[in-house]
Amino acid sequence: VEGPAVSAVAALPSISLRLYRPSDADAFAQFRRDPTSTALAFGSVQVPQPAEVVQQMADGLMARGDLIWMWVDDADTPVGFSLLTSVDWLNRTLATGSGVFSTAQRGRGLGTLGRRLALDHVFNEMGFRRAYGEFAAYNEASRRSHAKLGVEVVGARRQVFHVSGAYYDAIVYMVRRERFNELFPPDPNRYLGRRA
Amino acid sequence: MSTSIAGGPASSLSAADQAGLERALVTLRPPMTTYLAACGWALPSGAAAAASALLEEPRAAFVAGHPERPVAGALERHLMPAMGSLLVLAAAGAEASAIDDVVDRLTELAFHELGLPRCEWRFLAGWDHLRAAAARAGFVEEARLDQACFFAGGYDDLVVAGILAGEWRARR
Repeated sequence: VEGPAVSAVAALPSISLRLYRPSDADAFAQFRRDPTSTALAFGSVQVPQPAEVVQQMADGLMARGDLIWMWVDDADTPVGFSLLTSVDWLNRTLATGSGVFSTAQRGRGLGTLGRRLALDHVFNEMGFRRAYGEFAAYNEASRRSHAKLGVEVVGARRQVFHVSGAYYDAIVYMVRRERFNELFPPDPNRYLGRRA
Repeated sequence: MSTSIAGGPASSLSAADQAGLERALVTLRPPMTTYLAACGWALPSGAAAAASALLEEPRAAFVAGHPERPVAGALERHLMPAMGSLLVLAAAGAEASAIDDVVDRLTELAFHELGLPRCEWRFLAGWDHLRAAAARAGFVEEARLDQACFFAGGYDDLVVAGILAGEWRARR
């Protein structure tokens, strides 16, 4: 596991998290129109869907307790997202998925920063203990990004993804809160209106 | 004691079979709250409602074993990705043959009747009786989710086990 990508993070414009809202459906619809983006993020290629259909899907996800968080820049423009599924409030675990909307903004550390923001909030503000997730075996960029966040690979679900006639494994990973906070110690005073 | 098995999709189930599933859930469900949450099997409260939820398309359920030591199992069919998820709840002291019967019926339903390419089963690492049953049925342990479930006073890992259609057919 590599250390934190502090220099890459610091060089990026600041982004923050906010909840999904219906006006974000356009950004998702555009993302889902690119087959490479959906193959990388979801392990399947989907027929392009209008924003109205994306909105229905978002409503369905949120109705079952999933959380959709947007990564937005200073102008509140969505640049990426975290999808938190299998939210288990009893055992304090969940599964994460994420993506950067613009192909031009990939490979620069933006995904790592967005995932880090989401995990920090999940672990240190919501009290979750473990975050699990998976990426397609062919998604090397995701593998590298997750390695910077203290991720441990814990197995592979065989032949879960199906792209262009071939099956691929889903690499299963896990992030422990303790390990994440070793790499990115939270400032306990950050939201208390006082200095550390 | 030999086991009998009853169940299937709701359309093939008699009222007596459904009552048997409800009785099994009365015994099996209360200690399994955290496990069901960890596996994502959200069931409504009440045995009748929970039994109905396990039998509602795209799910099917079976029950086997001695009435005091029942084994209940369910299969949920997923479309994307195409696969089946197994749930097996076994009472303490349940016979291995009853567990095997339920798992056999669930995998047969998944692969022979529904044509799914893959089945998955998640259980606690400390449940030796289910780990052994999974191995007997040909499941391969594919991943292990660290401390995913609080059970009986402490956290336990969740084993993700899988079997592919070709592997299941090769064992027939």
